[in-house]
Amino acid sequence: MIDRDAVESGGAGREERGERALAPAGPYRVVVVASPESVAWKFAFEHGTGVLVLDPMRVSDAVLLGPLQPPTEGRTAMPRWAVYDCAEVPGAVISLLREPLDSPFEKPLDPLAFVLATPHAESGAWHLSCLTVRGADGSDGPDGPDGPDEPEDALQLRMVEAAMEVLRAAWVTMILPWGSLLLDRLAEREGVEVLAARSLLHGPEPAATVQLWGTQAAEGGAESVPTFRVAAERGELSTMLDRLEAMLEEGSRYLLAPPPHDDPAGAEGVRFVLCEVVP
Amino acid sequence: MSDQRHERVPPRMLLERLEPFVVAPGWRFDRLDMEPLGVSVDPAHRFDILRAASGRFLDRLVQLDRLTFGAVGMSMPEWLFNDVSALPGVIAGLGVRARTLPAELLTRLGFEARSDALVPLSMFIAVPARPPAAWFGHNLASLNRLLPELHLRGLAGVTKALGLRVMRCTEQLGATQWESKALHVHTRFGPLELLTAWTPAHSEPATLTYRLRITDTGIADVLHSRRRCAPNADTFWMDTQGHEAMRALQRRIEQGERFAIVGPPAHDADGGTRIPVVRLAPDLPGPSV
Repeated sequence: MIDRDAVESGGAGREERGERALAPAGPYRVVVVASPESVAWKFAFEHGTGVLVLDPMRVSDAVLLGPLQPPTEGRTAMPRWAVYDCAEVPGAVISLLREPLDSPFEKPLDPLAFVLATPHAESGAWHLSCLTVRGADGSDGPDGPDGPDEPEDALQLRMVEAAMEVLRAAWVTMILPWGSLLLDRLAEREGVEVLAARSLLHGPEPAATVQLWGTQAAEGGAESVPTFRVAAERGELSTMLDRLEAMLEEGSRYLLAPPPHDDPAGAEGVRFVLCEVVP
Repeated sequence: MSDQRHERVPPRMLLERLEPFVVAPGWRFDRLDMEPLGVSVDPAHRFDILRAASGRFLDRLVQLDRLTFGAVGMSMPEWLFNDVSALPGVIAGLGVRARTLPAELLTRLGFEARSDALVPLSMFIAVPARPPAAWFGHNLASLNRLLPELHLRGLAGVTKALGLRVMRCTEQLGATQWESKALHVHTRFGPLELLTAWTPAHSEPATLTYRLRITDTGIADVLHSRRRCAPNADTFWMDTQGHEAMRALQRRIEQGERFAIVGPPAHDADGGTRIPVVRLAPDLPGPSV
């Protein structure tokens, strides 16, 4: 059984030994927006390692932050003050830039993707929100150096993994619509637990609250058995979420897993499965 | 001064009339202080953000936020109550059972609640800034001004004190506008060290970012409506409309100088408002009362 406190202390120790369990940011440059006094304790990088650090509390840096803002209108709008109060100062905004690693930083910044990170009350744990992928013209959707070979959900996963790396995260939480293709990507990854079937105040499309463990924590992981199959067809989703919600509130725990290719019923039409953790 | 009238009924008495609540993930409750300021948080009022049963109370918190900040266009989008509030951090506040309020009042405020359900009258929201002791407060809502008939004077300060204790917070960061009335509340806790004086990264550049050391003395001052923090001979005054002075102060902060707000906003002879600020010695660990 995965224990939150045990992982919390284990995460710090792992980093002290210089071990990195997660994938790097790939071919992209990284920008981190964070207050200076927090950089020393939060992040897994040193100055001058290809990471640009911007301080939201300095006027000269603050004027560069426009391209790293989530939408301020629409259902998932986030006002500018909330980005400052909930991410930039207490946590971070982490971005992958479109420009390749061997080029100098350009101004204005041209982000390929970014995500907001807010610390949890448990050390080493973070909540990621406003995961955004931008097109070359500033529109939603990817158009990076890898072009169409790297679809949006792949970039989203790369952004999440890069954020976990930078943050030295023992675990992170995210809230994702059940229709998000990122969930399918996450199912291929070890150690993704569903904490809530329907996240509060995230209507009308149902959204899951998930917890992503650092790879080492997941490897120590728990035995689990397939219980729910999430179909590509959305008709059955509501019924399944009712059952899942009830089971979670009774104390059962579920991990995301890819479709079982050896399932007699066949993997076709199944996006991923939820495996109940054996107590 | 009207402060003398406040002292007739110390704000701490609100803790005897109102019931505390806490919203967070269920796993976090064990590490929070569920008996803050001598009152106990009823297990029924510990709302797990991951449970569907908490949904109706969360809806009431959204309504409380709209009632408090909607008029100035600063209410929070609903999803932020989960993503950057209760899930990583804590929402704490005070409320009353619906049956104790007139039905007309509940209708007027837009609260839907069974008679025994808790109706929130205030809340303080913070997320960790450096776990476990430093937190960033981003929402302090109170219906005091909207409900004068309930005699809730001092509710915002008591709610913030309660929340800080629930979080076991020893250092609080926050951002507020120079012209915000909330500075009356925040400065009761002690001096506010300025981390920014002009903040282009915020929605409103005329915003200050502060750091506040949380002490037993500061909490007691809030509960008893005392004000220890006060201007002195070294004080200079910042006009709440003086943007050029804010920029100049920001430049000095960025060059390493340290400043603190040492008292509440004061009205000047021209009808404007000004804030008392002092320069701190560079080697001080932080401003103290």
